[in-house]
Amino acid sequence: MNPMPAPSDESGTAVAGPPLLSVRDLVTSFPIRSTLLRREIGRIEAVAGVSFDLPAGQTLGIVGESGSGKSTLARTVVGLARARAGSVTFDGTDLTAAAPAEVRRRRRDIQMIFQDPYASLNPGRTVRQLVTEAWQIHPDVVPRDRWPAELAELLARVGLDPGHADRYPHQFSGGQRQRIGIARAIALRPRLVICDEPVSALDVSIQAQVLNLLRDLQRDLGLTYLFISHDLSVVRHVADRVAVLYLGRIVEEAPTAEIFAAPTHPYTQALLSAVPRLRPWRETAPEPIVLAGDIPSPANPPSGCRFRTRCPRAEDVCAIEPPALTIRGTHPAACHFAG
Amino acid sequence: MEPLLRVRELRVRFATRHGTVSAVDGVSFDVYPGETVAIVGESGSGKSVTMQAVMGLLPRGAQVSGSITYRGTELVGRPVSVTRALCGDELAMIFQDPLSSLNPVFRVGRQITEALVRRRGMRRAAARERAVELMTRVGIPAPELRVDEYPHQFSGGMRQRAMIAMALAMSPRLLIADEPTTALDVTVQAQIMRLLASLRESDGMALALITHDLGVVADAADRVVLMYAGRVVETGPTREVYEHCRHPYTEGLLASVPDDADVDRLVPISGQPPNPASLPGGCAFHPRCRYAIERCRTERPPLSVVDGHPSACHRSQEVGG
Ligand SMILES: Nc1ncnc2c1ncn2[C@@H]1O[C@H](COP(=O)(O)OP(=O)(O)OP(=O)(O)O)[C@@H](O)[C@H]1O
Ligand SMILES: Nc1ncnc2c1ncn2[C@@H]1O[C@H](COP(=O)(O)OP(=O)(O)O)[C@@H](O)[C@H]1O
Ligand code: SF4
Ligand code: SF4
Ligand SMILES: [Mg+2]
Ligand SMILES: [Mg+2]
Repeated sequence: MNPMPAPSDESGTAVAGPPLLSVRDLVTSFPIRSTLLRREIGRIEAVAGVSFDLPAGQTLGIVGESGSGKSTLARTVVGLARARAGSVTFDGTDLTAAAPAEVRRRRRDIQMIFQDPYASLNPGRTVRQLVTEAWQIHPDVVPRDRWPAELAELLARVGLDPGHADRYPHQFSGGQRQRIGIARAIALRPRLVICDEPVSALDVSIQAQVLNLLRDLQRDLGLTYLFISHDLSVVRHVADRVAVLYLGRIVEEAPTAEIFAAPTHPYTQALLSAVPRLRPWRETAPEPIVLAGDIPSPANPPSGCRFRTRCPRAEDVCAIEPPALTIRGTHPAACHFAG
Repeated sequence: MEPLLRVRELRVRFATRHGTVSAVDGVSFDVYPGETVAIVGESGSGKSVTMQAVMGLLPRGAQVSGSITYRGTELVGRPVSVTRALCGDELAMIFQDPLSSLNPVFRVGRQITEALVRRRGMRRAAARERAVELMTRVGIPAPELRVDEYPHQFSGGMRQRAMIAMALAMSPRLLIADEPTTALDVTVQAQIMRLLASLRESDGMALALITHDLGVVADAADRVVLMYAGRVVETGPTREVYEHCRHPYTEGLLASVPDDADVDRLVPISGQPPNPASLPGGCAFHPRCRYAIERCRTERPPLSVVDGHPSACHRSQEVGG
């Protein structure tokens, strides 16, 4: 496998190459059905027009509250949910329009790591079976006589004892199960890995182990990550760029250091100010912006700006005119008054 | 000042298929009136069991020893009804998952004031009014309408507020909150933590906060109790513990948190929490400890004061800064 370190400029920040993944105006929706006749009476737009580029070898962090559409976005990119509109272009091929055979071939390069290591592994299969089933489906990746050696190498790579290959998932701890999930995801030598809350179910000390592993794998295998988390400290640690999702739309997108130092969208500002600091007495943080209420239901989003029902800066225009995600100040933000 | 709650050498054991599990093994701490004490540790370290013991909520068959006194009244070994009587009036508890502690078939307002009606004989009409008041206080919007709604019509944050309103109905002196914001988003977490802080100020209520989030602890708690494998490994004023920790586990936890943007690699604790059915001998942390010496395998370190606050480690002098 060829390492593909991200190029850097003098300031040390990664410079974007051509995008490996390019998402445009993506919409994913689910039917709302009447309880009685199960007729479709409307649709929930969980992802409501999302666009971004992800250069090879980099990590794009996606943050947002529960229900903001993070998992739906991830599932659409890997093909577990169907796009209703828009495009998902991977390495030059639009996966929403390509022929099924081509899509299948491409999908091998895109793998996913899930939040819940318990639920995402079939309990009746051993680690060996869980990992080699991917090789069975794609026989050209690893020749069968190389399976035992490759498996041992792979398990060692993710920090598991190769001697435990014939154990079942329940015989491992949560952190170890997440390592099995990671081994499975990288078994096909993917180029893009979608991580949906990969450490959220783990204790802090184990979280740090898995985050370090993901970082080492990115460096050694040249992986590109779409990294989803509701934990902003974790995203700050792993991501090159961050996109903030609110009710199915990106409201702000910028290099990690920039968005944390100078967020311009009122929602991002509130979100960042709500993160508890480990040693608050060491810094003089501004008074946290406490938002009123909860995220509205995506079945019935507010008119105009979707954030306006909780926005401390909302004005009349916000109820009428949806703000576009365009560069305001130094980076894109979707707010009439950002920048 | 006398503590409200005094826990001494608390032990809780469960008989399971895999033998006896020692979930809590000699835990001691105090909660004084009006203060916030955080109980911190990884999952399985015994935080919830400790507080369930205080509230008399342990399942039948749990073996409890040691002492739990609330304002001087011993609770261990007394009939659960003694604890229950106290729990109604003086002690209240809220849980991580408010949906499982709200009854889906009753209106939220009615559940909030159920105790007032049943225990203080408040009339239904007055109780409804009181429910609206309490809901207003915890920041539930449109309380006159929502008082008649059912739990499934509430969002996660609103349910947690309803739970807090229910806990406040009897004006408790001590509120025990078991991971009250773990299931919530940071913006909602900030709202709930701010609400709890304001109640503490206005009512002088004490708070025992169970959490695994070290940032929440730093923000909210006067004192912190760190647990590992059913024991207290370090305890003291929050800021002092964070700045001058004396136990390798505390040090490891603090280094595991991705808080500093400039840190390139995190320094995790190696290995994983032990199985409570077969705890390592000596210091239970020794298989994961980078300070471990031969003595740690056999000799259990007692909780003792080094440089201001108690920690349980043979080498505490060499840990931290
Ligand atoms: N299969 C489905 N059918 C109907 N609605 C769905 C479905 N999957 C997701 N939704 C809705 O779409 C919205 C976005 O859900 P999604 O799971 O993507 O959120 P998320 O950002 O991943 O949240 P969390 O942080 O809780 O994981 C939610 O309102 C959710 O209820
Ligand atoms: N009813 C029970 N029967 C057997 N073991 C239990 C029971 N309740 C808790 N335990 C065990 O006691 C230990 C401490 O649990 P708990 O206090 O819930 O941990 P936490 O610190 O995560 O709150 C765990 O190992 C748990 O599996
Ligand atoms: S457009 Fe208006 S409502 Fe939306 S974030 Fe900006 S100020 Fe707030
Ligand atoms: S007693 Fe020994 S093993 Fe336990 S924490 Fe201290 S140094 Fe580590
Ligand atoms: Mg999700
Ligand atoms: Mg618990």
